[in-house]
Amino acid sequence: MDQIDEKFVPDLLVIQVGSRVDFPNSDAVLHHVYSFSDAKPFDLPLFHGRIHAPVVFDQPGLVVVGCNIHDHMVGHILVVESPVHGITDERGVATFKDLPETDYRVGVYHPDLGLPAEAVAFGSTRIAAQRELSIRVPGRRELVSNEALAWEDY
Amino acid sequence: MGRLLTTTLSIALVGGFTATAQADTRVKAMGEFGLTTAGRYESYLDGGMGKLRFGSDDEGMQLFGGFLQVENDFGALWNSVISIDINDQLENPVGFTEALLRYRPLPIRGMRFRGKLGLFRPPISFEHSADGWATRYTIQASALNSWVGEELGAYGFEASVSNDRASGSELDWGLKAAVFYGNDPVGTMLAWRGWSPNNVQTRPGDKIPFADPVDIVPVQWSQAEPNLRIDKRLFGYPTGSGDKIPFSDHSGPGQPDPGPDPGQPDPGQPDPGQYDITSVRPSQAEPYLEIDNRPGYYIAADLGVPQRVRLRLMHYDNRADPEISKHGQYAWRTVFNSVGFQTELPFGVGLIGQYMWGRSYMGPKSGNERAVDIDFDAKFVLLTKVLGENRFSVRREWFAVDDNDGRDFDPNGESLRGWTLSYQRQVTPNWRVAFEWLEVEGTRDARELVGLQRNGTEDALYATLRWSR
Repeated sequence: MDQIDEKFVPDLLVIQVGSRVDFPNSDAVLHHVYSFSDAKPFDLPLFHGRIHAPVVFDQPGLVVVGCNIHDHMVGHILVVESPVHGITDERGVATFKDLPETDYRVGVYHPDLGLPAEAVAFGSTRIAAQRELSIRVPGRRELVSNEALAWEDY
Repeated sequence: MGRLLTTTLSIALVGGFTATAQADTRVKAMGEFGLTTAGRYESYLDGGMGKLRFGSDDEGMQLFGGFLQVENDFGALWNSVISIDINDQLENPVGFTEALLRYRPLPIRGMRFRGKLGLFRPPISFEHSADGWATRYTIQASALNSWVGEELGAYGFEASVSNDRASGSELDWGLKAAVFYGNDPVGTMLAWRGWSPNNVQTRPGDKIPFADPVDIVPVQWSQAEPNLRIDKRLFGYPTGSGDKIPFSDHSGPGQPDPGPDPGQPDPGQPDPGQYDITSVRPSQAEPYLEIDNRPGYYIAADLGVPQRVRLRLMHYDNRADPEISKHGQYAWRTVFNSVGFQTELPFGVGLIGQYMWGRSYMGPKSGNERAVDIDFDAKFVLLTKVLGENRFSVRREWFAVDDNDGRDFDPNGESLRGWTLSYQRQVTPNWRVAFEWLEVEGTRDARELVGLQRNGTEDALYATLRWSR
């Protein structure tokens, strides 16, 4: 999970328990990444141009990361037990290939759904050998460009 | 005290700078230059009645602004910022606008606590959000926020608490409180120059000129009372050397007794029935002076939805003792409230609105009156839209000063409106070109003292190139 132009890139990761995540810092400024989430509390000052050890996420759950210097930076790391996981593209589509034909329970998470942090699973259903599954989630926020104004604390 | 603090702080910051100067030091810089049309009046910066930064003598190529900013991290929690402003229209072309140390511990229970110590301005402007407190949406700031850069800088300590977004809060909230020294003359420019939309930032040690009463007073008084000679020294403002000096009970300037040495306080006994203090109305402001050794404060509250809506309320009181003067400058008691709002409208149009209203007064009480006593208010609405590398902005503003003292020979009232139309294009990541039309229209009473109409319109066209990194 990189930091570019004072944003987490990507700002959402889905990883399996036990995965290691690198937090490089591509900005010239210091970022001080932290989490107070139960699944993985940590803090990591990321000085520009220095190597930092990756963080191991060994508990399932949602980890919300922030930057102590740039209040507006928020990233989400969803730590799941299943080896089958993915992130939808801008059309809202995620594709899983070569899955064994069996029953799956599908969970959906989106940082902007406004769910409490514990409610990671959402709109779950059970499918069998289906090739396509459509899950509609209520969009709570419309997209805003955020280009026009500056929002950081100045 | 102010100057000493800056020096000490600068040494401390520079010391830290060299000790850890590697990847933890960042330098930002900006320079903006370009063309301006001639203003209608001579600029206040040249001692004229003009409200614009560039007046009747300033047509052509000008430096619009520039800064050098050095930021340094001391570990993850401590950080310093020094900003040096460049302005060839001021007596000192170079000066500090920021020199501060920040402490940023990790959030505690979803709350961020922050501390800031040094030279800084109260967080009022929503327009100066570019690096180095440069304007983001237009070349010249609104009159409201220009005043923040001109008179409100001080040495202080600010503590703040706000929400931690990573802790899952849906709303942004925050509280700030600060105590500060070194800005007792705040209000001088609002009274004696009035509001001005510009992009001038004052620095400690600066003396900002405005129209000189030595040119003003004889004109009016020679008409009203032909036999009266008003001497610059006998303008009827309080003076002193840091002590409280009482006024006699009088409501206007009396027959002056010409003193022996212009520029010096009259050593002789005052005439009964007159101001017993005779002094100079200064023709310049020195905004960073500490005169009464009383700290001022501000408190501010923030509320917002991340990236969507932002509201800031502030109460400011410099707590100056209005009966003290030093170094030819007076302490002005200045109290105001400020409201700022910004939001993103449909179609990606950004909206900023700010409003400020307050009072400033100076001089011992004479009856129920102070030597100068003004109410002031300013407001503006700004719309801005980005299309690719282009930004379009329009601003409408209103600003006024009500003169509430009865001293007609020193009329400080004004009521004006302004338009700003601005277009910017980011040509490369480092270069920005901007075109702007600015108009200020309305009345300022003091114009009559120099033979101008009270009512007048000033406008200007600017074309600038801004380089930044």
